[in-house]
Amino acid sequence: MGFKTLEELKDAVYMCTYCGTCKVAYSYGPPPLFAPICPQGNTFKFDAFLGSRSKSAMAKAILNKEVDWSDTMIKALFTCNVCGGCEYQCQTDFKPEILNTIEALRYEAVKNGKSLKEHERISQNVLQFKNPYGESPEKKEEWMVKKADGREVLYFVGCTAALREPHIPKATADVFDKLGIEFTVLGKDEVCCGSPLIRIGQWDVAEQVMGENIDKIKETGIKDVVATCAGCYKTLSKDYASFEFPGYDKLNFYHITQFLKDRLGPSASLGMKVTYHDPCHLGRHAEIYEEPREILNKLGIELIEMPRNRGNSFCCGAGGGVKGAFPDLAIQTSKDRVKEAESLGVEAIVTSCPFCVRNLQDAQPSIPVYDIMELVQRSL
Amino acid sequence: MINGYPLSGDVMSWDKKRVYRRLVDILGDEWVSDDEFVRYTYSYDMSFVDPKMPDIIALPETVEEIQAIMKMANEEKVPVIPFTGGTNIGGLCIPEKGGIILDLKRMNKIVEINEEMRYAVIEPGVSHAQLADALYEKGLRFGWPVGPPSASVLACAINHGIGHLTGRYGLNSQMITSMEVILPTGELVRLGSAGITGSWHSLYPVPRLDGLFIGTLGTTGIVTKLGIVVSGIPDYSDVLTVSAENVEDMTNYMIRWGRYEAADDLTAVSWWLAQIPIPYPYKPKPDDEPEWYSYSVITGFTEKELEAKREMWEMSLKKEQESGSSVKEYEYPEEAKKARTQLPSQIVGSTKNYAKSAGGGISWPGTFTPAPKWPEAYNRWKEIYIRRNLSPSVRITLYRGTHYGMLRAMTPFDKRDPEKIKNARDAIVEALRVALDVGGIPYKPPLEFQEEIYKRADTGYVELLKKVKDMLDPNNIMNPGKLLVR
Repeated sequence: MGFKTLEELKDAVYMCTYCGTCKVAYSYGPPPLFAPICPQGNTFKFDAFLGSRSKSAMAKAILNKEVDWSDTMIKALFTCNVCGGCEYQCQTDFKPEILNTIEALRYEAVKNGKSLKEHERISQNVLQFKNPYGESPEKKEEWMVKKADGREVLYFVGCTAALREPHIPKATADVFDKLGIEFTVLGKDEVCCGSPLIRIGQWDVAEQVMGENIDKIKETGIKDVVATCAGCYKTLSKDYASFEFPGYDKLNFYHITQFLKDRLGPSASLGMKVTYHDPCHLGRHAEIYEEPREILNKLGIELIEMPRNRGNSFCCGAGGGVKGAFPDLAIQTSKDRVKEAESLGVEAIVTSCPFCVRNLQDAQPSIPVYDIMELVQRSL
Repeated sequence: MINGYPLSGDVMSWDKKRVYRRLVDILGDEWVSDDEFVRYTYSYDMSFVDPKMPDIIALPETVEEIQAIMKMANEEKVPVIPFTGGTNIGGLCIPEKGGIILDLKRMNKIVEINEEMRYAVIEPGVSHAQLADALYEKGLRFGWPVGPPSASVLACAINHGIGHLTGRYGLNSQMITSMEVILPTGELVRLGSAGITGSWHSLYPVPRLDGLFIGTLGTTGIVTKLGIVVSGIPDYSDVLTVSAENVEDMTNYMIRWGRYEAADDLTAVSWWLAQIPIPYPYKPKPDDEPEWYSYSVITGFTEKELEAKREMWEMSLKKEQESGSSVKEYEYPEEAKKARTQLPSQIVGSTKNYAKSAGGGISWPGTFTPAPKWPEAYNRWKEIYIRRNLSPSVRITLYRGTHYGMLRAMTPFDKRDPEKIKNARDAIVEALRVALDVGGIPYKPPLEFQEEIYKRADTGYVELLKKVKDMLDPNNIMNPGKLLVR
């Protein structure tokens, strides 16, 4: 149980045939879809940076002790967004373990003293402040306009939303109130879910905060936990499940779009034309594609899809520790995605992850970027 | 050591630091790497071919950059290996003598799609996925192979790759209309109509110098633009499927039906290749299941055209049955039919049905063999493969009529075990000898195959090949050793 080590993943790694299907997004259609899918490969071009076959090569090189860690290898490993775009294309038995292999390689790098200083800072911040931003825990409550002590739902706000995109929890709290959903939050006691730590190979600290979170959640006595952050949701519902935390199996985790889908009635039409960006953690990693779209439909919003949507969604560029360690690369990838959205002639980009909101905004788009909860709030 | 294998090959002597600097001068340091891990990712492919490390990887974007690199490489006497998707299964881009791998993926422009004249002009980095996407918008298609959608259209065509229109048009190399090549010495050459008038429509009626660069495995030059025939997407299609109890009956059926040249694709597969994935190691076929299955993809621009083709097929089938053949109609699962028509395909192209769980290895004895000799070759292959505990997962496909076609056995193996790699390699080479015995010739051949070819080849042919190679590549820097004659 727990995270799989590289040695444990060896058999899966050898299921990669090195065929290269992972290199580009493609679907037959008709019409066919062809597009770049690997953000780092799209930038650096060398096969060592492109798709999951480069990661199977890296795993073989490390497992067989054929290549020493080099700066370029570390760059190839840590400029990956762990977005899963390559995984979605793969058809071999390596597929289910691709993301685990990338994360295990990062853990291996960290163990060998090859972690990035920016990532070490994230890890230290989480240890000291319980969030990756190094903000005081009390700041996690600053978005709150009133006390939340309901017993129906625990809203797991997440560090990015609470500390960097407070309009998202504000909108979410307002929606809960208007729908009569009694909720509470952990507030200053909420600890980083562990997602950034798992992705960057800082597993020892991750395990620590995961355990703390489960204890805090259990202390509330509430069974239904709702997250607006795609990363928190993926981590709580998928990564935590591989650990045997006592009482975890009694908890129910929902992304807000799952939770609200059937609770929202018909509303006044917002009369907007938007496109929807599938966050990697919510889409490919948790296979939640339709719930956000159903909500947008209920809001009377015309949805124009980007060519790369659902499983073929192009990462916003922030994930996998890239925004922390390679901010320019994160923005470059984001600009690519924003350009795709802008070409549709829509009024706004909508997504359902605060980290995506932040990075898409950082690309300075000509149209606004909304979290889906902002539009739900506007409709009520 | 790479993947458990020692670095082998007669590595040529040259000044690596100086060559690296000169490459950086041409391309900028962003597009040149001598990092060990970067080189490692270019050192092996899916096949049984032993991994070998290149020394430097370079990613040019323009013709001028490649010309400058080739001139420099000639001065320095450093090997250059052209590389696109790295998806072949013959080790064709694994450097025999070290050197520079020129990864051409940045050269990915579709230069022209001429709808009226039905040709397209592409650069080497254009993938099947990219071209399919662009052609579909104009109602056009090309011969999409059973390969990854990321594979290079150009590399497939110049290496005699096949597509899904082989029954109608032949090999993808037969769909070439013109060519732009950089010679090993750096000169730029245009061949076919592109070399005379600048129009890319045909290789005729000028001398066929394009042949100097087709099937030569990147040893005679770097093809930087290729004109190819594209055709309209028919409005109507059907997949006609049959089974047979033995390879003799299946071959006779295909020859009779193939005479009409009515199918876009006329292919049959053995029971083992019809399984997903191929059984690895070998497992026996159940007695109550046919040993051979065939699909014919027919298309038409009108219902009547399609119906006429279906009528020819029914006639062929009836005549075979009247002669006592075991061939009969057999309903394919819908998903299997889609895999034959919905190309390019990630599923069939990603080796999912070939090597999904075998352990990463996939190779083949891939040959062009006279169709009447398929039964003899298959029956001997079957004995070889079963003896080696491998599934005889064989495919036969007719090219443009009935005189010859593909005969190959997809062979998955476990790359974790050197003994299993050797077993697969030995089976494949043994099978290849059988194919050569009956008149077959391997395509995209790794060195092991070429050794067998040259044992039997006409001396005059081999000497001419040497002369051509020496003339074009006086310093033997283009993928040296890969064509074996030099």
